[in-house]
Amino acid sequence: MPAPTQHTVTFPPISDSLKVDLFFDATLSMKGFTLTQTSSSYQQSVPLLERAVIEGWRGGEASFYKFGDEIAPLPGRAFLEATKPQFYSDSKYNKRTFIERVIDRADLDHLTVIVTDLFQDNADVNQLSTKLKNKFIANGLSVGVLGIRSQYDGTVYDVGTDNYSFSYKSSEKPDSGRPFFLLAFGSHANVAQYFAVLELSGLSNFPERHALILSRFLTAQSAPFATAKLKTANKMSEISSSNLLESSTGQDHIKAFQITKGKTETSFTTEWAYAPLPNVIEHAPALAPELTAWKGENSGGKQLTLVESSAAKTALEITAKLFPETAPFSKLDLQARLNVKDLPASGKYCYRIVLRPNSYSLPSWVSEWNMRDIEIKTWHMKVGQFNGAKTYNLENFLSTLQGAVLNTTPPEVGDIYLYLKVDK
Amino acid sequence: MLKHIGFIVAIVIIALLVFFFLIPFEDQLLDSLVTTGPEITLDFWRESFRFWALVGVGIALLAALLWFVLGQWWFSLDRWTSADKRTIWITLGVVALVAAVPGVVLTPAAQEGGRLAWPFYLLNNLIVFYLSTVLFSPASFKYTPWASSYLRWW
Repeated sequence: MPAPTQHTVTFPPISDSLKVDLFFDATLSMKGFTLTQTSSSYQQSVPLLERAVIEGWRGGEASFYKFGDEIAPLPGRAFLEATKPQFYSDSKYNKRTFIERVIDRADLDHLTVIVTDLFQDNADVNQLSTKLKNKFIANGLSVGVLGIRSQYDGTVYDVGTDNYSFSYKSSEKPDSGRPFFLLAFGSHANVAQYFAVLELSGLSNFPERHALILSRFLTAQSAPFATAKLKTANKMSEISSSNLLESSTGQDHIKAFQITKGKTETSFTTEWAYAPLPNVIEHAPALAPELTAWKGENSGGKQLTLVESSAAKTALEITAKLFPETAPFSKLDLQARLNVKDLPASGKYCYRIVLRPNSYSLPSWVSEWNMRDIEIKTWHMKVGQFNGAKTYNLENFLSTLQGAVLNTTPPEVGDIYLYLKVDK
Repeated sequence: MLKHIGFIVAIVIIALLVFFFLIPFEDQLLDSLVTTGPEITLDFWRESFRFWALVGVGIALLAALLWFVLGQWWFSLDRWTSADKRTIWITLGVVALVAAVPGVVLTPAAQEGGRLAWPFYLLNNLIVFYLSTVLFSPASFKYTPWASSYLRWW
């Protein structure tokens, strides 16, 4: 039988060398991060942004820009000016946050990082999400969001649909800090590497921070189905896949079974260690298997031809779940039940089983950090109560982006093949 | 002397025929009858069957060769009536059959049909020892194996 040709894109490795383009939001709302009495988390993070590029990649190269209404390069060490209030006083850049212009300019081979407070109105969110979807997500790239709450003393502009302005000063409490975000666009491995090196470089000292990487990848591993130990096997024998395939070398996602004459129902259960990637889309432990079934038909050639079979598809029932019940998951449990009598005839069969989570959610911090319209209306009437520790439209932005990832490149936790030799 | 070598070669050929034809036939038959369950793969089980079948056939071959060597060069034949060495032949036959025991004990258990290997082990060893001795025993002891008087026409 022919070996599988359709198989998931494998997790791309971290690049050996990488060009990283960092864009600083130079609008007025960002100024408050630089007006605090002591050095704010925002100010401390600015030099780390370059350090992480140098430490994260042997040939790492960082280029800096500022953006707002326009985009301008920051040559040499000019990016360090982002820690000073004057950086945000240039009227050519400080009015509107046109993140979409940065997206247009972004190079797909580079890692693009935007440092911003992410205050976007509904129209901005839709436009930005569409651009991110078309440019990065549709090309299998990921969108990373690293939110950090920082000390703040300034004015937050363009809040809500009525573009209110509020003064805000954070207190000593870390959860009163105003969030700023690093939006990173590039391959999943490079985004994760950048966030991980930033953590090691000093970001771990900031108490209020969360990361989320929206991508097609939930795990870097190819499901080790071939070597997974069977917990049970009822009326069926596992055989080497080389018995059924011309070439099965290195195909660790294939298992093969033989069912001898006289069986009406057979089953097996197995499990394998599951290693999730950090900060990926949150999902339920229950998995929704997507099945495709083929029957090997003799078409006169040297080997059988695979012909899709709906009868074979209905004959196999798959139940799969991750364990433990809550993340981080460490094990994948799979149960298969085959109604042999429902198979059209004796012969060889091939099943492709794609395992995807059956429901997704955003991490709880997103809703906690999200600023709602109704709150803005209340704060407009009672100005002193404004909570600058939240970000307007954060939940809308991230759920729209997550939806784009799930629709465009639905993530999976396993893509496995089951080959059967059945004697009815 | 050439005749003796010819007999030894014939005994080895019987064992080789069992090894190259009978055991693969049994292996194929077991492939369609045995269900191994979760612990082992069917390939491993069959490999184990073939290995222990080979061990059994090897021991049965040695027993048959020993019978030939003893009969040809070791047993003294003073009188025609003392030619009956049936006890020794039976003892060597039992050795050939007991050679099936490692296979019976050490072949991994299967969910269904695994015990079908047991009669095959016995059959293989019996065929090698009995056919070898009944057809190619030394001339002095050619009627010692049971029923050889019907089969040994030379």
